[in-house]
Amino acid sequence: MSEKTNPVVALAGAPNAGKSVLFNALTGLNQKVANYPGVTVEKKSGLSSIWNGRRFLFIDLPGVYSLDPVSLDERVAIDVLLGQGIASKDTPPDVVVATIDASNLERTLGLAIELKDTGIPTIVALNMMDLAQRRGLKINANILSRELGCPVVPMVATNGDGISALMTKIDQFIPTNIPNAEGHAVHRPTAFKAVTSEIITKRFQRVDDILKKAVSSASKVDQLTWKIDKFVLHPLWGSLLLCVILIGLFQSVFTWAAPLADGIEMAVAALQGSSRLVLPDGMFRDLWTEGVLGGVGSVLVFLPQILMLFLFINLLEGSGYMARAAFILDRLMFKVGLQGRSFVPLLSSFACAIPGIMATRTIRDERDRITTIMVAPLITCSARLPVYTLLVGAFVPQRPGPIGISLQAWTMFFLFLAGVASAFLAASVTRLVRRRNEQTPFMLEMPSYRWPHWRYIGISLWLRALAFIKRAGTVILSLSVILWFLSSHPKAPDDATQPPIHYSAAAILGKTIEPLVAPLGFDWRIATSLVPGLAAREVMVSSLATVFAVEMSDAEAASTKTLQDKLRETWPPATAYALIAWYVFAPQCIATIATARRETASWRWPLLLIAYTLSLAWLAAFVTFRLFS
Amino acid sequence: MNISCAPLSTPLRVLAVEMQGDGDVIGRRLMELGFIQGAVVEVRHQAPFTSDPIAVMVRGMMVALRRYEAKRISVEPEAALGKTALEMGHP
Repeated sequence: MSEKTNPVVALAGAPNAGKSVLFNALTGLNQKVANYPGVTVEKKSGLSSIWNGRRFLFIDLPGVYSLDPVSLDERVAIDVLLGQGIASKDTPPDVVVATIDASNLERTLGLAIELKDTGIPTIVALNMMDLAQRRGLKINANILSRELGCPVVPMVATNGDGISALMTKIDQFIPTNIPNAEGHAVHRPTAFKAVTSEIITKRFQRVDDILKKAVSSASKVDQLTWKIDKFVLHPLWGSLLLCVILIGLFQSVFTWAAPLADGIEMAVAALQGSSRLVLPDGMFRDLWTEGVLGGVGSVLVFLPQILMLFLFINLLEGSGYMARAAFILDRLMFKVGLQGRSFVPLLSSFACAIPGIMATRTIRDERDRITTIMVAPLITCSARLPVYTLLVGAFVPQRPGPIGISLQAWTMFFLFLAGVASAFLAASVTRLVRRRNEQTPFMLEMPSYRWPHWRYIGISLWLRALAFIKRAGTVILSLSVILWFLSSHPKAPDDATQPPIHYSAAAILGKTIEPLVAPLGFDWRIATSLVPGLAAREVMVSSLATVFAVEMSDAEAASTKTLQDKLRETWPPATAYALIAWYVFAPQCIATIATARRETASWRWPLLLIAYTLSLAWLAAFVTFRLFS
Repeated sequence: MNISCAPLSTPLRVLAVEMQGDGDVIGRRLMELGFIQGAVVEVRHQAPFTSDPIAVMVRGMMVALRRYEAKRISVEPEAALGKTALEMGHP
């Protein structure tokens, strides 16, 4: 069914009014996430199931406080409602559903009034009735509806209460005989007046007048939230709790995801093995097993870790804790040139910089957002781990270090810390470049605590996994194939004495860039394996193995051991340490650069990102090499 | 007195939000969050170590503000007017 023929329903509402949960309840898995043209604001749309013989196309607008835009995503939401500007090519909505938080009408009712006043057909979804009851509020929806002059549907989106009543109202509001796309949006709202402080004050007065009539008991402060916050925001206990949550998060992400990752790795290896047996010898077989399966498989391995991390992030966000973490960390983040909202993107970057960079969309200040994007790739992502494990295992002595923890574990810990420290340092530099005392808006609402909504989390993890697999199947697949081609062509001559990769284009490239990395103690073999490492950092391990002609078909552990022995024989320790230092900083991931390009909508920032991380990597490796040789 | 130097857990009445020109995004957003003349608000929490940002209860919602933002909001102790916190938001 074409989307053009479906009536369009826009969901508008303040942040934290439960709009996204309502959207999920209305559309289920039938949703599409895209960008609005030319901007990096996410556009979520989805079809409802069939209702009274037709489907509705729901658009989940970015959260807005009022119809007077302050940030880019608010601008987009308002343009969609008015059918102008950024969204002018989009189908304007036939109906707008103003999603408001029943437990917090003092704050959210104003937007419903504003929407109604524009002349767009408006239905009010009076969401979170359960929370309102918890706060002892008795709301008369009929009086509210009469005062507002539009239908009001009480509901609890998290358990589906009121969804069918809302669908019935939507259905009644839109004439059934819409002939074609031209029939849409007969109601053209008028442009808004500039908002002055008088208008805002008047709007709140009107809200208070309506509430006096429609709400019978005065709003009690949410006692539960207040009690939890006394602990969570306590200067000492709150900080300790944050530390415990972070440590627990990393511990469980790495331990719980490991068996799943091993499973994927084994499945890919098995698929490669059976493909080798089944397919005839030749270029196609190599392309399939090494290029396609090898390349895509090496990235898919990270899916469990990424999903696990996002499960935690969703839990923290859905419960209301994330805003508290941003509150606790804002000052520290501000000192280093970031802000409280940079916390989630940086946390995500421990799994992978790509979702981290995408999560910067919640940062309202553009400069803070760019800074966060620029430093996120310095956080130690999970793709660096295989390389660290290989090199630390080979070159750091296996003996106990301070407080009974092995030297190797200390080194790994130090490498993680180096990632965070370098990200903070890099961000501080931007603080120096910007005017010293320049402040950016922060103003963060801290929502009431509530139980995370499992269905919502399930759907968002599922969509996240799909997007990741799609990316692995397109961008990463094509890169892997190109890099496979470079490292296996031209073919070795018949009288070859060296492994085939020595004659390949990648080796030629490696030898060309060798003079550039020679001061770091890198020979052409390292330079060569840096090339395929561009697709995904961890590919460096397998390409080193290829260059050193180690038999990788043995059990993984055995072969890693063989490679480590081989490296120890060949490299002075200084070279290995320099390579580790290189990996802390190097922009070794095309997908991250591509994401930075897409999210900043310019080449300026990704190019600067490459330049500064490359310089840092070179300097760090150079200093390390000099220190140890 | 501005709200950034107000005592914790004390009802305060908003006198005004300082607006800096027409395109003042911060001032307007503060008003939209409910910091309008006559509203009763309360500073509830301070961030650890530096006491910045602060968390303010306004119109039934906790809002985190950096102190430089909070400086715009001038308040007086609510008790001075002899009103109760239930009459939030009425001038």
